[in-house]
Amino acid sequence: MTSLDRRQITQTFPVWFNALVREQGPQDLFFEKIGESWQGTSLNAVHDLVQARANALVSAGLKKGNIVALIAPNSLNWDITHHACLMVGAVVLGADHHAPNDYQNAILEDSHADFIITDNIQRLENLTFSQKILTFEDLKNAAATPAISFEVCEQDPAILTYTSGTTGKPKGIIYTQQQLILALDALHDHYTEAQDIPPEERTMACWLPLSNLFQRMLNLFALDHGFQIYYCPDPLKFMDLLPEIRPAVLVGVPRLFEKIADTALRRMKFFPQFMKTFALRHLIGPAIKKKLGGRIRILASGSAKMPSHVLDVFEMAGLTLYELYGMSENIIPLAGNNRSCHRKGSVGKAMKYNEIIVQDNGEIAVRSPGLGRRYSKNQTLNGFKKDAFLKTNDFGRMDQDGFLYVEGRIDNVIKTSTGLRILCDDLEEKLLAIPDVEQALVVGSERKLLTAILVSHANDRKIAQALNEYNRNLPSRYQICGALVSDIVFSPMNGLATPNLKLKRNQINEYFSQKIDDLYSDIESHIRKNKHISSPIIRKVS
Amino acid sequence: MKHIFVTGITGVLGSALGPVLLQSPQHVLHVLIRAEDHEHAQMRLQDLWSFWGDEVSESMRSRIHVYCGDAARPQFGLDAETYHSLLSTITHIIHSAASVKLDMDESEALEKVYKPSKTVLDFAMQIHESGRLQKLEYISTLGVAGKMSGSIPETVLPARDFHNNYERTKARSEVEALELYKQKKLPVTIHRPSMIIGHSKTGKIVHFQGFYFLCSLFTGYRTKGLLPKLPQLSFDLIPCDYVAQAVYLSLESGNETAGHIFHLCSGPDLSLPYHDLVKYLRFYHTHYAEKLPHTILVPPSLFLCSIRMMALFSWKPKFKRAAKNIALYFNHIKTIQMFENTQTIAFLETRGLALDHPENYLRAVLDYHRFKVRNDMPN
Repeated sequence: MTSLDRRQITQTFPVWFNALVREQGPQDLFFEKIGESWQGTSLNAVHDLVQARANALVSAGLKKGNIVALIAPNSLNWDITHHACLMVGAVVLGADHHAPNDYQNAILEDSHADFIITDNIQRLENLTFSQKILTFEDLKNAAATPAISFEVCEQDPAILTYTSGTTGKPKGIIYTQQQLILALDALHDHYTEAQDIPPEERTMACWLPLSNLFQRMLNLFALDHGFQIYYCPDPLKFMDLLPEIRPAVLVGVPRLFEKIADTALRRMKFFPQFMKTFALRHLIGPAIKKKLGGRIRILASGSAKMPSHVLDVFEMAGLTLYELYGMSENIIPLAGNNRSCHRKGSVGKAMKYNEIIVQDNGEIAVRSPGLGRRYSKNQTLNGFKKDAFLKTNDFGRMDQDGFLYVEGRIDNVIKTSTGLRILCDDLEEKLLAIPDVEQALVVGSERKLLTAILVSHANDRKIAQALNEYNRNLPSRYQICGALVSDIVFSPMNGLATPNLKLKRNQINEYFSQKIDDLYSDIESHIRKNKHISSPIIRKVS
Repeated sequence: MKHIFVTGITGVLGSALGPVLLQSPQHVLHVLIRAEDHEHAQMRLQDLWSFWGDEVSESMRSRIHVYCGDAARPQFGLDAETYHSLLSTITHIIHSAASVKLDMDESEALEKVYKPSKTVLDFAMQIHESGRLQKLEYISTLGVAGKMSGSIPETVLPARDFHNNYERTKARSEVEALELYKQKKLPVTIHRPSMIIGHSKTGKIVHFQGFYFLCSLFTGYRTKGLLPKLPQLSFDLIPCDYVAQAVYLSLESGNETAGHIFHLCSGPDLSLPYHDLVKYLRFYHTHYAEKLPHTILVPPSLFLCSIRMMALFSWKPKFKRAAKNIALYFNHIKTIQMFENTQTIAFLETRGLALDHPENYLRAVLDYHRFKVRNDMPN
C-alpha cells in the first residue's frame, strides 16, 4: 500500500497509524540523544509504547473526547502521548512551556482541559489550574496488551490549538480526525519531491516546539515518507546538532535563515564586488550547506515574511528556500512554494483543498475543508461557516499564475482619499530608522496627504530635518507632510499598545483625533499660502 | 446572440478584451488575424491561447471564429463568399488593430493605420445600411491630441500639429468615423486610451510597450544613473483590464453611447509625476534588495546628448536601438498635456467600473514584467 492509498482509505488517525506501522514497522524512525549518542527506536516499538500509553491514560480516567494539555519540551514521549490520545479519541492541546504564564493560564482556563501531562511537575509551579496532572513517569509502567480501543470517527475532535493572541485574547480552534488526515494528504501532494530523496538520507529534525501544530504535522508527514525524526528538546542548541542530524529537510522560521544569511554576508565583505557572486556560490554556499549538515534538499520557512535579501543569499548559494503560508484557523497550510512551482517573494500556490481569493480591498480570504471550528467549552461548536470564505487579516495579491504574495496585515493598510492604499509597515519601518524616533505611526486614512505620529524627545528642527531626508527618496504620495511629536510612549499602560508593544492604530488615532485635525488644517492653510510644503510641519503634543 | 467582429485580438487591448467578451455565452467572436497563410494564423493563435491559459476555457474558445486576412486589404483580404457571410452575420464591431510604431513614414502609416480603419468603416457602413449594425467600438488613442497642450477635452479636437505620422493618421481616421456618425448615424463610440499597461490585479499583458521601456530607462541601470530633469512631466497610465471593461460596457450600452468620445485614462488627478515614478522605481527595487545606481539629474538636452554619445561607443545593438527610441519619446515629452476624463468616469462609474489609483497596481505590473523578462531570458 502506498502512502497515498493509506490516506485515501483512512480518514482517522488510528487507522492511518496502524496501516503505517504494518508497512514500515521494523524501521528505526525515532531518534533521541542519550548522553553523547543518538538512540533509535523502531516504529513497531513506538506503536507498542503508544498502545501502552493509551492503556495507562484510560486507567488514569481518560475518556473519549477529553482534552489533554501537553506541556513539555520536544521528546519522543511527547509524540507517544500525542499519538496515544488520538488513538483513543481524546483531544490534544499543545501548550508551549516557554510561553508567558498569563498565556498558559488563559488557555488552560479557556480550554477546560481534563488532564495536564508534563515531563516535570516543576514546570507547572507558577500556573493556576484545577486539572489532574500526570507526568510521563506516571504513565510509564503500563502494558501494551490487551489493547483498549474506542471507536474513533472522522468527525471526532482531535486537535485543539490556540491563536497567538496578538489581536486580543487567544482563541481556541478545534480540528477533527478527518481534517488531520486531509492536511497530511495536502502536504503529501504539494511536496512530492520528498519521495525523490534516497531512503537512507531521509532525516528531519523536530526542533520547533511540538506545542506548535505545524511541527506535529511535519512529524506525521515525515513518518508518512519514512523519514527519521531527530528530537531536539532545546531550540537554542539546535544549530549545534545539525552536523550530527544531517537533515534532508529543514523547516524553520525566518529568524533562523536570517542568521545564516547574515553570517554569509559578513564573510562576503572580504571579497571585492566583482567576486561576490562567485564567492557566494563556490565558497560560502558550500560552507552554508556544510553547516546545515551537508545533505540538505528542502529548506522551508513559514510564520512570517522572509526578508528578500535572505532569499537572494540562499538562491545564490545554490539552495532554494521555499516560503510557506499558513494560519491557525486552517490545519492545511494555505499555500507553499515547492520544486515544481516556485516564485521568489511569493508564498507559492494554494495547497490542495484550499481555495484562495484576494478580495477587492486586497485582503486574502480562504475557503477550505481544513478550516477549524471555534472552540468554546460551554457552547455548541459555532465556528467558521462551512462554505464561506474566511478572511485571513492579511493584505496581499495573487499573480496571473496563481502565486500568492503576502504583503502585511490588513489592519496596517490605510486608504487615502485619492484611493491609494498605503501599507504602513514599510513606511513606519523607515520612520523608525530616524535616530531618536522611538515609535511611529502613519496617519492619512481618507485624507489626501500623509502625516505621522512620532514618539521622540528630539527637538522640532531635528525631526523636520530627518523627515525631509526621509521624504527625499519617496514618491510624493508616500511623503510625510507633517507630524505630531509626542513625548508619551505608547504602552499597554495607556492602552495605546498591545502587551507585545504593537501599536493600536485605531486607539491612537482616536486619542489624537483633535490634534490630527488641527495639523491637517495647518497643512492646508500652508499649502494655500505657499502652493506647496517645503518642509514637514511639526507640532508637539503631550 | 451577439456576433462581434474584432480586429487586433492579438494586441495589447484585444488580448485583454477577448476573455471579457467571452464571459457571456451569448457572445460569438469573429476575429480577424493578420497572417500570410493558415499556418501563420495558427501560430499566432497558439501564442494567444497560451497567453490566455485557463482564463479562457475550451468551451469559450469554441465561440471564436478565426479569419485569416489583413485589415489593410480590401474586404480584409477575404474571399467574396466569406466577406458576404460576415456582412450578413455581424451585429457588433470592435476595431482595435493598428500599428503603434512612432517612426512610421507617411506611406507606412497610411498602410498600417489608415487603411485598416477605412476598411473597417466601410464594412461597418455596409452592415449599418442593411440595418443590422448595433454598435461599432472604435479604438483610437490619446495621441490624437498631437501637440495640443494643456487640458485635452473629451470632444472633437480643434486643428493642431502632430509629433508624428502615427498620431496624424489616427486623428484622421477618428474624424472620419465621427463624420459617419454625424452624417449617416453610424452607431460608433470613440475610445481614446492613454498609455496601456498590464492588468491591475495580476500585471498580465501580452506585449511590453512604451511604459515598460521607460521604466527600464528610469531605473538608471542603462544610463549609469544619468536621468533627465523633467519637473513638468507626468504619465497617464491605464491598466488593460480597465480599458477592456470600458469597451465592453460601451458595447453593451448600445446606442446610448453612440457618438461619444471616451478618454480611458487616469486623468489629471491620478497621473503619475515623472519624479514620483523615478522614486517609486527605487522604492520598488528595495523590495528585491537591489541597489540602483545613484541618480544624476541633468537637463533633457544634455541627457539626450550623453545617450547618443554612449550609443556611439556602445557595442550592444540593443542599446543603440534604445537610444533611438529615447529620442522619439523625448519628442513627445516636450508637450505638457492633461487628459480630461470626468464624463468618462461618470459614465463608467454608474456602470460599476471604478478607476483605481495607479500606485495600487504598479507593483503587480512591474512584478509581471520582471518575472517575464527574467524567466524568458536565457541564463
